[in-house]
Amino acid sequence: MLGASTELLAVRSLGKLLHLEVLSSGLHTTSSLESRIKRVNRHKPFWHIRKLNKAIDEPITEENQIFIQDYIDRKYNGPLREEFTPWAKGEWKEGSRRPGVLAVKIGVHPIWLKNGKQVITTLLQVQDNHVIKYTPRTNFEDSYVGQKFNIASFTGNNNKKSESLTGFVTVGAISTDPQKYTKGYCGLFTDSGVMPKRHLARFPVTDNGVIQPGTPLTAAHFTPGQFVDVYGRTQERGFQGVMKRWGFAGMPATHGTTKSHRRAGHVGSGCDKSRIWPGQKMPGWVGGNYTWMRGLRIWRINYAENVLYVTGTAVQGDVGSVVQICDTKLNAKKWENLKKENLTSGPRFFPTAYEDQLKELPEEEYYSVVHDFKSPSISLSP
Amino acid sequence: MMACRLTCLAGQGLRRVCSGSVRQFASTSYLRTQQTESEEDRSVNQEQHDLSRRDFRYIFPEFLPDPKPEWRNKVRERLERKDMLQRREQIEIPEFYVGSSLAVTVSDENSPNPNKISRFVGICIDRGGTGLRAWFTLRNVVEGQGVEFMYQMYNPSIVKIEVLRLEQRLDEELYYLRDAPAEYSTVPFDMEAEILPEGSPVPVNDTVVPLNSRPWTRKWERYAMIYSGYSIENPFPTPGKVRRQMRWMAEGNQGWQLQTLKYDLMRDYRNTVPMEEQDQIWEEVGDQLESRDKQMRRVAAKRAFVRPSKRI
Repeated sequence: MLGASTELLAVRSLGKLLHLEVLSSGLHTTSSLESRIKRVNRHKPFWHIRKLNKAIDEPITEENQIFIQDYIDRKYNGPLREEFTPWAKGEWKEGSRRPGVLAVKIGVHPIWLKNGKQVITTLLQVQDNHVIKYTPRTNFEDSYVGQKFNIASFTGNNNKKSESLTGFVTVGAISTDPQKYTKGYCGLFTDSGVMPKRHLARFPVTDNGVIQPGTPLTAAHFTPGQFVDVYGRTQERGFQGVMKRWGFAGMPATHGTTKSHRRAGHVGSGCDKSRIWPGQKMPGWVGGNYTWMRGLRIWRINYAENVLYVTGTAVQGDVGSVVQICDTKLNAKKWENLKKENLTSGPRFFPTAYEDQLKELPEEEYYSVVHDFKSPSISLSP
Repeated sequence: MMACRLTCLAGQGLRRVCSGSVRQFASTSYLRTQQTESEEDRSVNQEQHDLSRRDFRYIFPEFLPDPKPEWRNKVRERLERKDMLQRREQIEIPEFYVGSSLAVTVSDENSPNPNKISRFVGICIDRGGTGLRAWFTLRNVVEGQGVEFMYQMYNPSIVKIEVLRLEQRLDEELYYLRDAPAEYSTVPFDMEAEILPEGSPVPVNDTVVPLNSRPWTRKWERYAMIYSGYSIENPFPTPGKVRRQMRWMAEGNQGWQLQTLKYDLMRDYRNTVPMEEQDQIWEEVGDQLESRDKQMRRVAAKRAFVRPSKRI
């Protein structure tokens, strides 16, 4: 019977989903079923290579330790690959995309605006960032990773939405001891000549947004008053019940409710589909997933310490966690729409601030609306 | 690492910063000025100087960070202290304690005055917060209505903070004033500042406030061992409850945990910033605070100077 066969097909495709494999694009009924399943993004991308070295079985003698340290010092000594010719620096136009930075969340404290309003800001410190690599789009698409990423969209393969993106720029943060990492991981940094970094991030860019590998990135990459998107891993909240995890209403505390104050209640359907549907919301692990916080404004930048002051307390993770920051993709907060902030001609430094520009910067800069503590108390008299 | 030498009051789960009971220490004039000394004297005086700077934790408690290790970060704390010092250059944030009478003038867009400024006078019933989030609460009774205002100490809308009467009370928090007669919370709006002579210790006002009859905002009979600033006429709500209440108090049944708190040295340690780190902080900000205090003293002295009247 027709009804039975479509149902069987649906069940099989759901089985595939439960094993988290790539969807086959043939079935059109899956979109409504799939929407019930709330996928949570907790794993690192599959293309991340093995990073940490295994512990050494035999102890290394002191002489050899000194020898290794010597070798490392000689290898990473000196300026970064100055024998290569510098790449051309692009100019900003509408629709450009440039790489972002990796920053560490160092805390939260309030700042005040000139009209007396308080804004709680999160401080994000850009620590030891360098551009590691530029991967052109064709290289990426032909590679093993690129093939895996080639998920057919239901609008068809001919609809290429992001034609202008010419590749990925990889950025790394916080140099560490090469002895901790595998040879493969250290090899990622030979192009740029920097020391192996603890954290890596990848940003899609347009042609003019490409930055040469080895360039350091600082807080001056951003402009006070602009909007950014922050990508990071949320705080772990452990195994949580259905009220905290999914926002269920629970049941009354009194009036005769028996042992069911925070429970889910009804879970299955009636006669025909007498089973629990896949994706039924139930208690489980909350937190530790990678999310985007979009449209956060940068109110203040400290160029001396490389600290960005960003709206809100909700930047993902605890103090000390690393997040990716890039220019926002929200339409209302893009460069061309920032008329009040006078940023319609793009970021101040595009694609990033280089050494000669960094020298001229003051220690600190505020968005025009922010109250500087060096100025006297706010007076609201007309 | 040396733990804080002060002991927490039992059951004082209310306050995170370790604070002892009422202590005798001088007002800001205790801040000693630096003088030229020989090297030997200098090391001795340096120690003494450091010790006197340790009193800054009472005068400027918001400069010490929140001891919770998950939230601590040296760079952020340094930037915050810098902002705080810059703000202190603009207005005088005076030394005050819970129990002092303050007058705070703020820029308020809803003020009826044409210059959009409001002034509130009150007794400080609590203060807290660390860094730029430091706050204090003033209480007063205005036209028979109890009013409390919580101010953020580093909010740039604050135009002026005056200490009308610098004094301490028997407790670190005075929330029981809400259940006390209005006269104990009233501070007249036209009160003039009482200036203490230099170098004098901060006076302790040991008034014991008689609480009103029930209902109360909190069960003050249970805190009678912790707060010494109030007295209850009839500790038991009803005659029938006497025996149950007495049994409850006799068993020390203010929650079983509170009994062990006074023996928990690790809890004390966790809730304080180590002395070495405190010394580093005062080293960083001490000079600027002292010079600012000197500046303010000069300004206050000029104001207080009374011109001699013409002799006929």
